[in-house]
Amino acid sequence: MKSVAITGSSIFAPNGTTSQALWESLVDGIPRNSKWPRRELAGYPTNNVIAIPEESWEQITDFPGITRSQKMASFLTRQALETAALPSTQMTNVGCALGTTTAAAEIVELAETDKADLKEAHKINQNADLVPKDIYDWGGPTFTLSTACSSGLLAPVLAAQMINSGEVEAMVAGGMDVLLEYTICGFNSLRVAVEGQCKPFDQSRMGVVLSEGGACFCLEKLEEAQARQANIQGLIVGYGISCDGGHPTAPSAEGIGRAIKQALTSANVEPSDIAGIIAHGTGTPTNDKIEVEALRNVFGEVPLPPLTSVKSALGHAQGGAGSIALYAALAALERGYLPGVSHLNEIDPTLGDLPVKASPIVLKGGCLMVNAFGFGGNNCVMIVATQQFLDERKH
Amino acid sequence: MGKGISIINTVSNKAASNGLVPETALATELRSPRVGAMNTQGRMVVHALRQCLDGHTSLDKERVGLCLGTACGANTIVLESLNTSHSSGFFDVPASWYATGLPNSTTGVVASLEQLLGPNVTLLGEQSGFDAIIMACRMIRFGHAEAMIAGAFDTPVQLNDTQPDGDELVMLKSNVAASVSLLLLVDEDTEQARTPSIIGWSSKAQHNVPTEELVRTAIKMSGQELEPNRIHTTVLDTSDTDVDYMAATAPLQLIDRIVRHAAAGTHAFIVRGFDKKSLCLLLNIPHHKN
Repeated sequence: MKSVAITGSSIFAPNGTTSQALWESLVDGIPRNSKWPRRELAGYPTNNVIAIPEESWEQITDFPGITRSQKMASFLTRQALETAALPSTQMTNVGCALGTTTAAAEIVELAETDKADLKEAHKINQNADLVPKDIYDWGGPTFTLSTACSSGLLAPVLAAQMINSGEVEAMVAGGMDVLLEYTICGFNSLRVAVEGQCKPFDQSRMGVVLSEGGACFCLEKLEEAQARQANIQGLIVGYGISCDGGHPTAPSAEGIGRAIKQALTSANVEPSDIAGIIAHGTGTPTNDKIEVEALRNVFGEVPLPPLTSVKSALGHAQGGAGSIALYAALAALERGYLPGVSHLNEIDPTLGDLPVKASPIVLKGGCLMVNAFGFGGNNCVMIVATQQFLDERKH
Repeated sequence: MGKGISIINTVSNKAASNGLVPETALATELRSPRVGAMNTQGRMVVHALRQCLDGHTSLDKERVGLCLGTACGANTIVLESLNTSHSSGFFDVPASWYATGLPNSTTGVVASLEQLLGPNVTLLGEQSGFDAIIMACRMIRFGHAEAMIAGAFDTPVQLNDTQPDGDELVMLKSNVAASVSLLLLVDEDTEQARTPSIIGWSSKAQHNVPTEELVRTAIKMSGQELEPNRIHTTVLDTSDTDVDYMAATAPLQLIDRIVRHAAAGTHAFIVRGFDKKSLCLLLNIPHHKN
């Protein structure tokens, strides 16, 4: 595919709203888990989450929206647009693509559990679309998609394609989700929510620590970004999407493998070009095993590059997870380091010789793979790179 | 855009006058070994999808995708999970309810049952059914699928059932009902323009965007030399329909008013919603329709 430039970005995560804050949380090894602070919950085997502090929510209270998902969407969208500083000529045809897993469930929970105003709840029940229409007149296409936990990566992928097809000049795209009792209940019922820390690829890994947050990006044509000397934070150079057509919650190495292969082909890169992988890495015994198996099936004889998962430090933000992983990839490319897997003690020997470390690893190249997979068998893989990587490849 | 996207089949199934989805509009399976128990949304969409694919056996299902819009998704299951947990305790909440309560559960279940391995996308919101048709066209254009099934489904959640005594039911309209509306879309190459086809689209979320601007943008995208004043324009105001089928309203009206019954020629079908969002689909209706 033709490369698309990322010229704006924003994040709303448990450790703050800046790239530096995110990076620190990925490398400092500090546990951020606690009981869900929003409401007393009783009767669940575990109520262990990584929540966005209430003070952070208070900072975005004036943004448009009734639900927290809507307020977060307004905040992230505006920030991404502001950091991109698009010229007025491009601003007339900007679209917005957002991904979420539970924005609709938040509305139900508000009405049912929090006993929110019924009239308002019904109004917003008509509209789980998160695109904030009060902050901006979108001259291009807008939509909110839901492919469970791959939503936050699929939205920027589709946005990049829409830019390449000439349908739109620029897109704001990303994903987000908030912690809900419904989600805590669900992950407990699936028996994948754990006490303590999430430890992807670790021998003692037991499952997921739920979290919340999201990220957004402003995407535009590479030539336009270069012509206006925009701050290019990274390039989307390829992607793959696939549907398992299998079990609603169990992953499939075959389905994930198809998305990985497509992404490499679309980016016109070899497995050996990939300097690091930000895995989906949920920390459940099955998911990590299947993801590694899918990667090995595609990489074949080529040794896997350094691998990490940001969920060890930040938890699993569902619809926000893919976008947060992409944001982390941009931070890693900027710094030349792949963050380590926080709380990693001993790599699971059944996963084979895995290039995973607890501390940051120096990147030997400017091309990363980002993975996000979701219930319903939705897989999304993106290849992001630096301008330097692209320039060197041309020569 | 070049060639159009052919609409080679359509299906619309609605709730009966009592508001319930008739058994004849539901797949017979109540559960499946592959996906477990099936909810009403899943059974409703599976049945319509089988009707939509009927007779189109040459399609390679590995290259067929699904793109559906929904406003309510499977919110009834979200509600049931919370109610069960609060009333009789967490251990009475089945493990399957989380995944089946997510808005994308229906597309996932349908893809699994019918082994559709193309792109599988769910869109959310009032106009997501129309968005889904446009997204399906993009998926074909991007080369991700040979065919896409696109449209919407909704079964409204009745939040009032669970509210404390004395709260009255508040609905934006009195007549909210379940429905599924699907279109089977393929690249025009395979059908030689004998069927209605989508040749362009536009979407904006701006205050009072003029109809002419939406049509002009869609014409530009089509890449065709079309005179705007020779295009038949139909504007659907979703707040002005007798029965609200939620996200399925626009696809249903598109099928009924344009795809099946419009005169030959170029048509612009425009949808305006409760919020600022407006969408336009540009279609060619041939003289010899199916």
